[in-house]
Amino acid sequence: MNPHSNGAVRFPAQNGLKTNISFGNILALAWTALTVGLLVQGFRQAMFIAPTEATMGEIYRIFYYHLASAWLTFLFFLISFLASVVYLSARRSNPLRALGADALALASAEMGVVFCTVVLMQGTLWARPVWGIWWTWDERLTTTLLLWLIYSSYLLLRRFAAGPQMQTLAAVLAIFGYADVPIVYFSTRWWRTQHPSPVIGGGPDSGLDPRMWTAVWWNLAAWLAWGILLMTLRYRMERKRQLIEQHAALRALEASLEPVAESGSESGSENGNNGPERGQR
Amino acid sequence: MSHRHLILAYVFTWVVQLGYAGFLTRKWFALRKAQREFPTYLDTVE
Repeated sequence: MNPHSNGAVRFPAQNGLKTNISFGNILALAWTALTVGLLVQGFRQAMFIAPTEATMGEIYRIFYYHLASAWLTFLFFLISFLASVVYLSARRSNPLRALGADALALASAEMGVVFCTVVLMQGTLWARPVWGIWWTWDERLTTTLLLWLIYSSYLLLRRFAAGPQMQTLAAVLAIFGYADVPIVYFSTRWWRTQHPSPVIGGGPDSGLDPRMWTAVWWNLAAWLAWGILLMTLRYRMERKRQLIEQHAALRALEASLEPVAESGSESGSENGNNGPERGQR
Repeated sequence: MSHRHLILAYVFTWVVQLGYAGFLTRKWFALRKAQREFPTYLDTVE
């Protein structure tokens, strides 16, 4: 074992400056700093700079978080959908790529459910003072709740189901569940809903005041950066978990083969060689 | 009342998002602990 590899920073070093700070860590720190900056600016724009709405007053400021969360729900479920398609198509021909796609599908689905939860709760808190009710079985609201239920069941399936078919079943659920996303998006166009018209491409009576767009873009950028940060972290953790799981399986296999190996190489055991060397696994 | 709902919506958003970040942090430390139990194989792979 290298006596210097105890987690400490070596300075100065014989072969140049060597530290434990990798490029990935620097990138993660920079991304975190950027995200915090964007979130602060987004909050400032939404709460203090954007003009007050004529009919709803201050309560409409929920809109800036609500719209960003809704769009990011769609985006993260889209990533989960695409990764699930890759998983299903590559699971036999390229298992390593399939495992990566599976981890990405899980990470993005979790992020999507978080944003969808936020959208639903913001919606109810906005509806009470504006519509006078907490909830109505309006098409937009109902299909959004259905979307949340579908992807929550996806996460529950991944958490509690076991066996080799679990990932395949989860991928199929993610793909079919995504069919609800276009229904949610077009619901305000297809049906007469209590929910307001879409802000983009919603017809002559819809759209935003141009002064509102600055706060919209800031908040969208901020929550996108936040979502990417958490999704990447979750993806890396899932990849690590997959490695640990594979290692546990290898150890179990080694344990089952040990009596055979010991009987075949007793002389090796006498010399302190208790199993295969690291590089031979 | 509308101000209260506005504040609640923002607070709720942050509670959910930071709650998820906290959940990930806990999971990260649990994984690091598991990694310490199986260091050799992970060292050869990473």
